[in-house]
Amino acid sequence: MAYNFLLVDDSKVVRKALRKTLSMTDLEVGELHEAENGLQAFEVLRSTWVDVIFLDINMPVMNGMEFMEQLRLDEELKETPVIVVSTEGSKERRERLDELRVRVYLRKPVSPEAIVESVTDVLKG
Amino acid sequence: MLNVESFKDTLTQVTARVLEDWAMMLVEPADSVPEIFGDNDRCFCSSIRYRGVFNGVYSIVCPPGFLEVLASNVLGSEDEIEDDDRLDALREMANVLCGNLLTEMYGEDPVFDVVMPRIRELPSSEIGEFFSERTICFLADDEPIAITYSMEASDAD
Repeated sequence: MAYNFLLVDDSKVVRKALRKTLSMTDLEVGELHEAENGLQAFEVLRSTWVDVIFLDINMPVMNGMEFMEQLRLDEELKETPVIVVSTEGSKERRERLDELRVRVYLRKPVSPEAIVESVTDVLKG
Repeated sequence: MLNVESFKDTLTQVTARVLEDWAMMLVEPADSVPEIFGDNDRCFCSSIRYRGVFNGVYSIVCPPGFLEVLASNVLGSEDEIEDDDRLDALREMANVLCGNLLTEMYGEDPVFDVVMPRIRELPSSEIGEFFSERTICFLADDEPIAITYSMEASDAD
């Protein structure tokens, strides 16, 4: 079974690096979608099935915290697993992300190994 | 509040760690003088602001050669690197550096809002104006970079 991913980050370089990392793993990668902010991410999620979301926090238009708040209120999308990849270091915000059921929090800079490990954990359920 | 020397030590450690871990660059300290930029007739400057217990700005100045290495290392040299990628890599570097530095300096309790990094081209004639006592320089894979920072206590403190 191939898994679809959504990469949400305002940095094209970060999205490219994530795309490359995922494509080089043993994971069965299906479609790789991209979004520059939370609002674009919702547009993607409304039009296609996504198994795992990679999410940055500090983004324009709709940031990662706002996105998570809305995602968990959405009846159709609220169970979608999310892996946060961010520079955010505040305990208060990380605790809020825990409450919003973020499955994994990775602090930038993040290694390809950590990406693979987190995806594997999330897909195992 | 940390003194300038202590802050410089932390900035040096965090910068080296971020560039080595994220961009696989070999980083070494360099003299903090404009001359390290040599014959480069232009550079790029990425500035990032943060607000919280302290407010401040970090600015990074680097030549095109540094951007080339940075983008190639982050994306893989076999990929086609576009102009946007080079500047985007610098923007992301400022973002990652600022986030890690704030945690290293102030711990995990304070909440900071980080404003999106801005990038501008810096003619060689203006590089000298960038330097102050709060400037630290490095050679990363033999390419020069300079970081200048400012910080002040917030009124909200």
